[in-house]
Amino acid sequence: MAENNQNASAGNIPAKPKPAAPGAAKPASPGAAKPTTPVASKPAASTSGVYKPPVDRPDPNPYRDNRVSPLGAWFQERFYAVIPIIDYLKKKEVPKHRLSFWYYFGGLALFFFIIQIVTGLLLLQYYKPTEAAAFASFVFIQKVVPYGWLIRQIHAWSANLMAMMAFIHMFSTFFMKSYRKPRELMWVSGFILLVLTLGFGFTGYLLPWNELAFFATQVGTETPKVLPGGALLVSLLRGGEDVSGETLTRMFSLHVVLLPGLILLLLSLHLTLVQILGTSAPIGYKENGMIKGYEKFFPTFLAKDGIGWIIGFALLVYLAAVYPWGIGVQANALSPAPVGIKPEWYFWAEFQMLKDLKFEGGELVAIILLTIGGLVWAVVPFLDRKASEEQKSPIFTLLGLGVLAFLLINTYRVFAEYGW
Amino acid sequence: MAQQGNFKSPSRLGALGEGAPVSSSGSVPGGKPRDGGLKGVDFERRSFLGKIVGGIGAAVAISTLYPVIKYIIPPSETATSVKELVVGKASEVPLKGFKIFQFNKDKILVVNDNGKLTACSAVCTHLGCLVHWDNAQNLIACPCHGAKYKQTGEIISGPQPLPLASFKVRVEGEKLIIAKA
Repeated sequence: MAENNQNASAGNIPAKPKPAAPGAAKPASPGAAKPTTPVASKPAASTSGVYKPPVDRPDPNPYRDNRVSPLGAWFQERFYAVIPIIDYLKKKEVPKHRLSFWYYFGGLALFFFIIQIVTGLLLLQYYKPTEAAAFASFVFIQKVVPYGWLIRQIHAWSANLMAMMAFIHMFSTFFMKSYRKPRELMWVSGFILLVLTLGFGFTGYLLPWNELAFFATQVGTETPKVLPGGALLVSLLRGGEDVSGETLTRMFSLHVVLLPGLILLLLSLHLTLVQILGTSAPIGYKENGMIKGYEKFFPTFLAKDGIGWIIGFALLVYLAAVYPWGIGVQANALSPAPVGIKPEWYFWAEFQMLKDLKFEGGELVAIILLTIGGLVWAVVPFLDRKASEEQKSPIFTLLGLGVLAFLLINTYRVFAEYGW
Repeated sequence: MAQQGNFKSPSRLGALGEGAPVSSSGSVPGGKPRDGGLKGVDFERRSFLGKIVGGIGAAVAISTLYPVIKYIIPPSETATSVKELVVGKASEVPLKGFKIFQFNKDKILVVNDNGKLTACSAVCTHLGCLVHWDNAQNLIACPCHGAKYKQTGEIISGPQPLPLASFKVRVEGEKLIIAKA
């Protein structure tokens, strides 16, 4: 700048004029200032002959004049790049129709997941994931730590409710065909989230290190053995040939490190897609005038979601206080398995299927069928071409009913045989 | 559920009507512009309801946070304190050497100075490091910040504010017994 301003040091003006306020168009050339003038006011060509055209830059912060609180303005000035995104999200709307009720279950699953994070962190303060100390620390939490019983019961119940809500959310979106174009990835990410949720249930089940947990993990990790190369998979899961302290370490690390990391990634993707693509209405509802109107996601639908969360929280506390999960007996690798051992309810249907296929190689057939079924279920949006063209697809509705019937009937059969 | 936004806020008002179809106006009947709907809003009643909801919310928040705070405060240990305890064998403390034993909640430094046994707290009163017996200099030294104590626990030099608490030690047969002073 100074090389263009031969008279800069003359007079009492500063060598570098004070820059204009951000956002305002800059004066053409500070070098053009007269030595005696206190401000660089004349935007003319400098005496050196170098012409500097007026620079008209776009306003770096078009939001600075918004009528917001000083704190809000402070943040707006720094995060103006994301304000259009927020404005876009503010426009998200939720259609109102007779099936709107089913929209709340995804939010509820998220709510119970947040509860899991908080109570899980609290349990980590006292839990010791070793063969020698796990059960003792579990009992310590339940019996000695103030409100430890409540935290543990809420964690256990919230896990079940989270899985339940995820199932309801999955089937409701399936029957409303919400997975159809352009929401295919929402479905796929949601399906992976459900698998991760079940993974959380399975890995967390061993952590109390009681008899029930021990043998449930024994049975659960034994199942893949019938697969080709299954023995390796089993030893990977167990950290050895048998369920032992090594298995506890593995399940613990999966439960508190790997699975939370994966679920947060997938959840971010799922929720981002929900915000970008918005809420789907069932096929034909718009065309047939069955949409009663739209409500804003922020804050109307979120407030309604909040009511659902409050009801969910009340239910959770009620279940935790009135129907507590047992403590059990410390796991002992040399004691016989307790009578009537069975997995958690969300694995009952698969458990029953494994029991039903009693013939030679039946377990392998069951695993293959369940795997194929799971994969087909995961890619349903890509198979259901009719729904993607906004046409009804009764075949896929029947498929969904079949899957639901399989799960409900088999789950009920286990309940009828073993009880809760 | 009625709109929960701050209707009095100009910024919120400014945002209304932007982008959203007129039918998407919360509790306001479809097609009616938002500003028109404001005329029917009873701000006094809204404010009262807001206070009720806020109060209930605060009560729920407190009753949720209370167990959590009680939970993270570690429960006090209920181990009983004894006046004296057999902490080990006398032979465990080498001649011209030392060993640290646990006695109730305290850690005790037992020094064997040519057969003469002394016991004092092993926790430096400066910042809680465990001290050791320096046989060459015939004193108790803390390696963390250079505190020095006599064999009996009295201060020689260093930043420590207090001497080491002293304990009684005796030998019965092979048993090494520590007792409160």
